[in-house]
Formats: sequence, structure tokens, C-alpha cells
Amino acid sequence: MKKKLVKTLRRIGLRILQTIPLLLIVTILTFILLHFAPGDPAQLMLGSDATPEKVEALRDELGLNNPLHIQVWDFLKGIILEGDFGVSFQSRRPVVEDIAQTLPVTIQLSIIGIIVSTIVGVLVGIISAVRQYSFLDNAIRVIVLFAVSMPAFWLGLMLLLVFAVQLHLLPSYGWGTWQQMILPGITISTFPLAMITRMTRSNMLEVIRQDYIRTARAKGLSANKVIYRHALRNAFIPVVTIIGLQLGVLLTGAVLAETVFALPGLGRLVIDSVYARDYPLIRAAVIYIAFIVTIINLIVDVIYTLLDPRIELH
Amino acid sequence: MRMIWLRLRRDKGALLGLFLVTVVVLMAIFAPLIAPYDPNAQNLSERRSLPSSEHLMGQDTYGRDIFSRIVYGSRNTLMAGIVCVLIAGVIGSFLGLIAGFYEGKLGNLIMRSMDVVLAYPYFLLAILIVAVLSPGLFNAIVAVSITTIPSYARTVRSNTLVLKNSLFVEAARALGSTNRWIIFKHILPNSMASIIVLSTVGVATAIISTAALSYIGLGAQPPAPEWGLMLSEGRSYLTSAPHISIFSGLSIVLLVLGFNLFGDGLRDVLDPRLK
Repeated sequence: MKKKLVKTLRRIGLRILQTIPLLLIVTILTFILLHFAPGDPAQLMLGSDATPEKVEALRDELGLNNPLHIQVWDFLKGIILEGDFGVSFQSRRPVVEDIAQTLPVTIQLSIIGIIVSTIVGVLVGIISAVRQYSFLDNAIRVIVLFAVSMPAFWLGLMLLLVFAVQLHLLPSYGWGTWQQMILPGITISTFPLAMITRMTRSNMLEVIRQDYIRTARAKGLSANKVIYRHALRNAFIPVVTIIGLQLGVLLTGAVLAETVFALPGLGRLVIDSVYARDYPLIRAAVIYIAFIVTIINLIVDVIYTLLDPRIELH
Repeated sequence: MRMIWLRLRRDKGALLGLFLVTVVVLMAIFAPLIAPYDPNAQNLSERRSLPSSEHLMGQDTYGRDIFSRIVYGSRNTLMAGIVCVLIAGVIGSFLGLIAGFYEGKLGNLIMRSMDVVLAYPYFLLAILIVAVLSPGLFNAIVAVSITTIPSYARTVRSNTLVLKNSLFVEAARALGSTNRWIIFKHILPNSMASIIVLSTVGVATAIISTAALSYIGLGAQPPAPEWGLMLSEGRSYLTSAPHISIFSGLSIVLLVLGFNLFGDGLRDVLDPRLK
């Protein structure tokens, strides 16, 4: 028993170690990619009416005339030693401040998305599987198909149109009250919900057919008990993985929902920065988000391993 | 091939999907014949007019006929989806074949690169790439293609790893076939089922992704008739003229639905295990 524990812990440790070079590469790659983006950062900071001498002076000061590898090295040093990701062109503040201001909104929205899509998705998936081929099951499958085909930004707009504009039931923008969270929450949850429903349904179907369910039923346990105790426990594991997989989808949904509903979140900040060519902000936001997603994926992987030691970590 | 078609015919969902896709494809091919007006012809005295007998879907904020723009827009949308899948499919499958067949350091390098691409949330990576290349439909297509490559690479690689050790490959080797022959004549054809399944759903995702990029202004640029762009143009007039956004979005939904339905049906026929 102890040997197994050590082996599992070692696997987890290895997995964590593998993540560190990945994060490093992501940081460096993001820096290099944006380095080749059009527009001179110094020119952008000073505005179009700045003299060439001033621009050149700022370039020297910011280290923009250094060779690329020196710039990368300075950037990394800044992050690791001081947590300094640079200064935004637009707000003239450290980008970490701008990000910190908008991050809570996006995180709240994402959490709503995860909770709603997981809980409702798993429930509906189970119902659909247990009552396979029934009218309810078929109706659910049709709705799921539509949900998967709907772009989040169109769904958001249609929800806005119906509930905010036509019916005046819910607010159309802003963030803070629970009413303002409903429409964006629905928008961001729909696609992941549909995917989770699908996966739960097919996993449950697989599990229900397995022999030990039949054995349990033969032993005399009632049908419901059989389902809820045995099937659910084993179908739960893939759901954990799915949550990890849906993170990218969730984030896309967050970006689009923030655009449609004018929410002051990180997604909208990224888009505004792309327009404004605010490269330090884009760089920092992308790195932050990639970090968060990678770490959450790591946690999901670890949980997955702990739940089912038969699964290989990679 | 005939077997596949015969089995597919029985799946009503797949047929509906094929129908939807065909309608849009025909719309794209025969656009000049179907569209009643020039999609870029402005008519500033008739802005945002509602659907009427003269303008089936009404007019947008510059007085352009929405129906014509939808018809011509199908070209942009279809092209975006298909080109993305072609680029990602060809490059990704090639990388997967190499990584799976030769393994070792090269294989590892390829798969680690795929991991790096996958470390970014795919939409964010697409935004990043467009930020570097500057906004435009073509760059949006490139960006979405790059984010799709890893799924092809991974799938084809795992197929290759399995197929490498199969009996007919062994036989081919015994007969003296070169590696290249084995890869392209034996392994690739047997991987095609997965690739095709990935591709049909991939077109659906690519269409949504490029439309999303256009919606936030990083894809197709005005005055191009592109469905995602039309949606965002209608956003400001949601209260007074919702039809601008409704029709463009509905077109996207129907086309994507078509590809999803057809893709699901195709997957059931080609490999029921994947369900």
C-alpha cells in the first residue's frame, strides 16, 4: 500500500516538474511573438507627434534596441525577481494593476460557468442516459445539438434582445448585482453544459451496461440504488477531465460574453489592448491566463490520478 | 465508399445536416445569381429598414441589402472553415505521422511543441496571433488553423503508434517496402477515418472561431460581407433594428448545425467506438 502511495506521489511530482519548463516556454514565446508585432512601442507610448529624438531616447531607455535574447532575459528577470510585467501604454500603470482590476469579474463569471455547466450538465446527462430512447432523452439530445452549434456571441445577443430589450426583465450591461449575472452566466455556460451532458450521457450508458451493474441488480438492489451508487461513482471520473478540457471553451465564452454584455473583465481588456496595440498588457494578460489554465489542468490531472490509480499520468 | 454512403443514408440527422451544408455551398457558388443586390451597394436613405418584399431580410445600417450580404457572406464563412481545416489537417496529420512513426527525439520534439500550443487557451492564442499579424480574415484563418493543428497531430500520432505494429505493416516490411511507402500507403489511409471525423466537426468549430474573431473586430474587416462581422455591426442597433443581427447569427447557427449533424452521422458510421 505504501509503495503505491510513493509511486503515485512521485508521478505527481514529475508532472509538476514538467509543467515548469512549459510555463517558461509559454512566457518566452509570448514575448517573442509580440516582439514581431507591428508598431514601435516607444512611438506608441509617446504618440504620433513626438520627435524622432524623443522616440529614440525612449527606445534606449526601455531597452528596445538591445538584441532579442537580452530583451527576453531582462523580461524574465523582471517577472521572477520583481513581478514586473511592464507598464501599460494606455493607462500608464503597471499592467499587473490593470489585470488585477479586471480579473475578479472574469473569475466570477468563469466560476458561474463551471458550476452551472457541471451541475446541470451532469444531471441532465444522467437523466438522458437513464431514460435512453425516451421522448425526454431525444428532446435533450436535440437541444444539446443546437446548443453546441450556437456561437456564444449570438446566443448572448439573442438573450439580450429577448430579456433585456423586449421584456425589460434583466439589465443589459454592467456587473455587480445578481440580475446582471444571469444573462452572461447563461451565455457562458451553454456550450460547456452541452458538452458535459453529452459526455456524461455516453459514460453513464457505458457504465450501466457493465456486468457488475447486472450483478448488483441480480443481488436484489433496487434499480435506482444500483444506478446512483455504482454508475455515478465511476462516471464521475471522466467528468473531472472534461472540466479541464472545457476550460479553454469557458474562457472563450468569457471573452465573448464580456464583449456582448460590456462587462469590465479581463477578456474585454485583452481585446481593447489589441486594438490599442498595448503590447505590454496583451503580453501580461496572455501569460497570466495561460498560467492559470495550465495550473488548473495540472490540478485536474492530479485529481484524476488520485481518483483512479490505474490511469497513467500522461 | 458506397458502403459508407448506404449506411449514412439511414441516418436522418446526417441527411438533414448534409442538406443544410449543401444549401449553403450552393448559395456560395451561385451567389451572383441568387443575390438580388450588390452586397456593398449602400443606400443611405433607407437605413436599417425592416424585411420587406423588396429586401427579404431588410437593410443594414448603410442601407445595404442584408439578404445579398448573407448570400455573399456564405463564401467568406465557408472558405474560412474549409481552409482552416485543410491547413490544420494537412500540417497536423503530417506532424502526427512523423511523430508516431519515427518516435524518438523528433517525435518528442513535435509533441512537446503541440503541448506548448495547447497550453494557451485556443481563442486567446488566436487573438495573440492576430495581434501579431494584424486584423484581417486571412490572418484570422491562419490563427485558427494554428490552434487546431495539435488535435490532428495527437490523433494521427496515436493512430500511427497502433498501426505501426499491425500485421500488414509487418508484411509490407518483410516485402521490403520503404518507410515512406508504409507511412503513406498503409498507415495514412487507415487513419483517414479519424481525420475525416475530426475535419467535419473541425469545420464547424473553425466557422464559429473565425466568426467570433470577426465579431470582436479581429477577423474580417468592413465592408466585407462576413456573418460574424455583420453580427457585430448589428449590435449597436439591437433595440431598433434587431433583424441585422438575427439573420446573420441564424445563418451561422444553421450552417454549423449542418456540419455537426453530418459530422455526428459520419462518425457513427466510420467509428462507433468514438461515440
